[in-house]
Amino acid sequence: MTFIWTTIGALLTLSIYSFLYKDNPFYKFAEHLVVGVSAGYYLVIYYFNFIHPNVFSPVFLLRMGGEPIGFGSFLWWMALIPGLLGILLYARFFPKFAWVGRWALGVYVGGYAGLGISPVMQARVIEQLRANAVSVAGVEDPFAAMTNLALGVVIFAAMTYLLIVKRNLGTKNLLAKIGVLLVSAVMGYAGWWVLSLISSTGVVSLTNILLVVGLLGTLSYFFFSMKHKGLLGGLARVGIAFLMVGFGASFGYTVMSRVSLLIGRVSFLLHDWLHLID
Amino acid sequence: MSWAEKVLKVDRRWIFLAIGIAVTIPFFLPLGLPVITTPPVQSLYDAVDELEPNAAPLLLSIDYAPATLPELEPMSMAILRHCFEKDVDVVVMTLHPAGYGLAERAVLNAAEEYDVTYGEDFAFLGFQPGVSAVILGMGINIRNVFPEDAYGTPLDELPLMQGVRNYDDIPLVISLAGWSAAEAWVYFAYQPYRQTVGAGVTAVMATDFYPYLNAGQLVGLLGGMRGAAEYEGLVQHPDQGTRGMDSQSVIHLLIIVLIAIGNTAYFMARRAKAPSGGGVS
Amino acid sequence: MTMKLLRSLTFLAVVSLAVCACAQDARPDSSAAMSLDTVPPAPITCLEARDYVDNSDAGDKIHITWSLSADDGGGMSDVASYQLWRSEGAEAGWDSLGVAAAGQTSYLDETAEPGVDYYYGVAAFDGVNYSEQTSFGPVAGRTNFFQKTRVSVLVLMLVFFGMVLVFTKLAERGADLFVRRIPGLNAIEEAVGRATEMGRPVLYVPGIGEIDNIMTIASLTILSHVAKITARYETPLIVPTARAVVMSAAEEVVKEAYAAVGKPDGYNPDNIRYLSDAQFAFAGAVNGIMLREKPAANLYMGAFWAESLLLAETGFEAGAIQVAGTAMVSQLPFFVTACDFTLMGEELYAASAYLSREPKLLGGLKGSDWMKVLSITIMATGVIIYLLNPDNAFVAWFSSQ
Repeated sequence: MTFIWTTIGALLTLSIYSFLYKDNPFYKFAEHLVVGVSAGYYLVIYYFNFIHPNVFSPVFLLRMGGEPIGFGSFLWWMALIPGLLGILLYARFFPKFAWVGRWALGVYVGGYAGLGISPVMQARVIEQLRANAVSVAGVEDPFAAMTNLALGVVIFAAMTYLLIVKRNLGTKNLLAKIGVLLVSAVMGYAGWWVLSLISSTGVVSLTNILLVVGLLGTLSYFFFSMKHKGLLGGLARVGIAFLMVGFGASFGYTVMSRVSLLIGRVSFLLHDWLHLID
Repeated sequence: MSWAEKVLKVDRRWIFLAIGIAVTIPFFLPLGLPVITTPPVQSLYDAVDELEPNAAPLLLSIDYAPATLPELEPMSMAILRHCFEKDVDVVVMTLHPAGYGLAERAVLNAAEEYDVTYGEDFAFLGFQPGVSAVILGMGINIRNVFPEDAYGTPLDELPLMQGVRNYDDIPLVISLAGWSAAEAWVYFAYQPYRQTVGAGVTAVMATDFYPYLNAGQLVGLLGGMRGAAEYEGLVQHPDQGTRGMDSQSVIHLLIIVLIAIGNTAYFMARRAKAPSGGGVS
Repeated sequence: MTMKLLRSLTFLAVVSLAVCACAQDARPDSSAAMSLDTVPPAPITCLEARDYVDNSDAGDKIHITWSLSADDGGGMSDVASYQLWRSEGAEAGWDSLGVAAAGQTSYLDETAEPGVDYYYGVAAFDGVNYSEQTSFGPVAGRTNFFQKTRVSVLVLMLVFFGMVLVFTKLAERGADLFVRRIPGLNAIEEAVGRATEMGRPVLYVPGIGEIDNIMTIASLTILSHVAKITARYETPLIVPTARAVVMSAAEEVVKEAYAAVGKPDGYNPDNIRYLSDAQFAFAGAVNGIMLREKPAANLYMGAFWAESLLLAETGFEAGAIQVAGTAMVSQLPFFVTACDFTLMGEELYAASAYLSREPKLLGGLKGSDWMKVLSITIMATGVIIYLLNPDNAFVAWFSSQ
């Protein structure tokens, strides 16, 4: 029995991969089968896991989670009202009454925005701010960190200024000069950490510095209220470099992911179906 | 036509064929390349390893669909084996409708290999739609969201669920997902309830999860088949993940070579066309 | 006001007393004899009970904390557990509440009646003898509507929403809000110009998102801009769509754009096409257009999924100039590699706000812009303060639950 199912699975896999050669009826058949089967599968799963226990059973059978509930009780209404709102969504099939569907949609969108906004704000903004502030400064000995910082900034700011700024950015704007200097200082600090890395100290702090520099640069790149000149221009250039590295990493990971999918299928064909390998 | 142009115009089906061969050969001639454990995987392993046997259960949310099966199923098998081996109780659930059958299959397959009993050592709660509402609701009381398990048994009748009310009674949640469900666990379980959360995601998504790891919002992370292989190594039970690693390495090598050839050809062809070096920015 | 002050002072007094008691109690204990155990363990210290606030606060939880008995871990090392009692009044009897294991310094009473004053007693137990009981009270559980530990979330959210609303209002009143010109827009214009020079059409793909997708909406704004240029240059503009509603919206947008530059006759409704709702069927059909009709400029703006690389790669092979724009982070790497220019993430919205000056778009863009400035400021301040003092209130405020 298992063999028959595995064989069907294997044949469907091969049908899908036949698209690599060119579009053909086997591929079309498999594709449509997937769409149809998953629609049916989802319907069953949704009904028995959700609609039945949360709507049908409490409203009509007066039972919720194995416990009886009273007709017209609070829990009964709590099952009925959302159920009715859900049915309103289907009003869109009758153009004249389509607008009532918006009530349900309003509850849905409002509810989810309310649930989501605060945790997302906390997880993606506040926690990240805190973690970055702590990680960049998170060196055991604050005094050592400060001297490191000061020395690093001075040495590399001077070097970068002499080598790059003076030659390439002959700008007359004082603010811009200071800006570029600041950027070089930040880059300088990163450079200083490369040196200290070679000498003895840990990798963690270096990656943390890079993290913060990348974050600052990227945020600046996506700042639209000022022209990209001077300080902002410099930071934005740093940002774009980091973005590109990020995209490269992400590209690599994606390739890895897709390859894994292929490996999974090949493994299924060779191991589960043909038993050629163990 | 120069060789560079010929390379650029090659029928891509040859490349498909090369990839197909490269993926198949290592299955028959394993190279046995070592899989080195990375810190995010190690810390997830440690978090599971530190759980008390036969005490508060691990909540494993198997949130993947068939499309990401090869990357994520090895993870669930490895984690389940780790738990059953150490007698750690496991509660399995899913936030993805298509994950229902996959979650059930994973937990039943793993349970078959060990001497474990349904209801005492593991349970399967099934699926509930509405990701954020489900996760938030479980923080108040799991019974509000899952009044009964996947087979219609009220939770209180399952010995391992007795005394398990909400996240206070669950030391660790692990979400294995090929979509934003794993992120939702960070948003809605870690943030409001400070629930310890670990995640296993596809390699595509892994980069998006490092910030959470960095900020301590995730206790550990498995990224793609490689992460699964590392975990399999740690529990000393090599399976699908490890088996795929040789193919993965060979293909990566092939792709690097192809990228190098493609880029060289591209720049040579461009130089031949525009001697001044100018071109499209 | 006076009441508040008084309460704070009482609180401070209680805290300082507790601190003193803790400090004094670090007494050495080595007098124990190892015969039949008749010696009770040393009592616990620093007992405190507080109303417990969590996300499902019903006022029925009280959190009890204490410092370990001197014989737990140190001293005679014979503490087996801690016994907890609860009483509803100083004179009422003690009821057993629960047991905490040795080494534990807290217990959560989840059975309190909201609003009832309780007294708590804790004693160390060595298996035979109880230590002297330490007690604390009265304390009552309350339902808290506000979780003070999450103020930072509320404040930052209010600031952010406030900025968005203010900027939206300003934009509605016609204030001149500056948005820098996105370089990608120049790239789009160059691409259309090139297509005109070559006498070949422009292909504009508004993604496969539905009309309610914000990326699709941004894309339609940019489409209007592109349509005005193609109308002026009299270059054919092909717009393949994957959603019926997007197609009718695109028709409207393009028609209006042609009318706006005084070339209503140049509009060709056959060029706004619905191809297929199915993702890869759509991608295949667009690829077909690229190969047959040979557009010289391909513009991909909107929400894209796995079809992104299929489209961009075919376009690249066909030799078209390509400009893409999407906020789908996972697809950006593909567009960046295969296109000549890419509007990344928020740049898509910025371009759309820049072109349309629509108040809601502008308000959102400006609001998030200044939120970024605020973030950088907070982070920089955090780094400096943390360097000076790792235990500072500023960073702690952001790490609160």
